Amino acid sequence: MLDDLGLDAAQEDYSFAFLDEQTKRMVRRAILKAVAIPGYQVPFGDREVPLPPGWGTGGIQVTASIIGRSDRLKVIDQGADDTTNAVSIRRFFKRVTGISTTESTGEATIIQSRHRIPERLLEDAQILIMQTPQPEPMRRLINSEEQARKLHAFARYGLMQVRLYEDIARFGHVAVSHDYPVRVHRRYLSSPSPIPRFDNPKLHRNRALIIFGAGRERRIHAIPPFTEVRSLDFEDYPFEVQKWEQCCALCGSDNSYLDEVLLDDKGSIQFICSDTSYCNDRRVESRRR
Amino acid sequence: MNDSIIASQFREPVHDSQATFRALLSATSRPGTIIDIPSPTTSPAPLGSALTAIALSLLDDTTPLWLDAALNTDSVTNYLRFHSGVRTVSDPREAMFGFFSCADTLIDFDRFNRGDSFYPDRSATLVVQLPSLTGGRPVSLSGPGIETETSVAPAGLPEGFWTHWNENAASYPVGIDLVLADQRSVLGLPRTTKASIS
Ligand SMILES: [Zn+2]
Repeated sequence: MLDDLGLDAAQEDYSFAFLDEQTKRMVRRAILKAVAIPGYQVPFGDREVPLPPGWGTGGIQVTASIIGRSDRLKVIDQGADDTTNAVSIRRFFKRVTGISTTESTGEATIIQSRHRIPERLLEDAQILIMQTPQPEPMRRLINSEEQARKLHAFARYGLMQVRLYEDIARFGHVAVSHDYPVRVHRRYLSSPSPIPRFDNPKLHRNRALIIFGAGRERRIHAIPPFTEVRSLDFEDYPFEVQKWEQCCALCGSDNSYLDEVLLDDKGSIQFICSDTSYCNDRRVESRRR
Repeated sequence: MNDSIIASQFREPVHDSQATFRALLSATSRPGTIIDIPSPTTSPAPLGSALTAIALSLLDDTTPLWLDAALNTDSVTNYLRFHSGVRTVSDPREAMFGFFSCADTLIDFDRFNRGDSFYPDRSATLVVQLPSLTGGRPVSLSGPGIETETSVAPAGLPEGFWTHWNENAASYPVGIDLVLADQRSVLGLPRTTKASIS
């Protein structure tokens, strides 16, 4: 899809990372405020961003505003580097920046991701950019943007607590498996983007800066390194992540997020790591031993 | 347009702007860490190299700028207007950015827009030129971006600055954000950073 963007090779210098300089400045200023107010969604205004609306533009805008010649970019979709969307975004940035890309989590300086946080612990020098379809956690409960803003202004998040408690009353547990709301720096209720709740604990005091970009909603929010991030829960029903009885069929990992894969038409299934870079590293490592 | 004037900003405008922004991003996301910042080929005295780089990287005709008395000269305003199109304002409440030639008058930062609880992001960012980011009285910082605590000792801050800074931090989420700069590097103080003076 991104190959349709009509890139002009002759304008190389002024289209480094594709966005024009004024758009980048606008996004950059929003990012700095987002880092200064962890979990708060900074609107980045009135300027139309010259990218087609749709999947991933929020992440692309953030990456394009941040990336420089010495960066190494990794792009993942649902944990994998080789899906169509991840490949086309990676190719897009290679073309408009000339920078090198990588599939290795450890080698990347910038990781743009959709729906997963890598299993490998991130490091100080890395920036994780998450694509976010809906940055407003209260949007599931109320339609009005003004009303949501008011609730954030007064930190009145009782509505969300009630919503989660209704699950406990009905199912005996909170049934939210993805995009499980978090409280950032004991203040703002935030959406972690549609990552599995398995990944929520990785947000807490992560060493890397994490930036969330929502393209259609034109919002950016961020979690600085070493910031307290708590998943909403209740004293008698503490937050829990998904667990599997199986290990990864390829690398044997017993603590990574697993995807269920259909093996044949008889319904045989296998569980493998959703994070392909992590799984590959482990297999290479075990072959060496 | 005159090539010699255009050439006298960043050597490579696109890349140096990006590198300056990344330095500010590192400084803001890891408060207390001193981060090197690119130098423009020239800067209009008394506006130092780091402040000039920040102006070239972040400012344009949508970001009203306030300059303190020492910086508010024709050579500075002409340079900034030519290279970034920025508009200067005399009322600090209207400014999105405030630039200080030194920290002497900084103590009064309540004059600037601190944002409100609905839009805390609309607060001003103040950038202050210091003689050095080291060699002053040490204080210990904590908050997001800092693993436990970190010690900093910027020189040239006025008496009572850190007490006043903590009042700003206490009004979180509203508050101003600060960037301290010497000639070559920056140190970020977002509103989440708290200081403890021993
Ligand atoms: Zn595996």
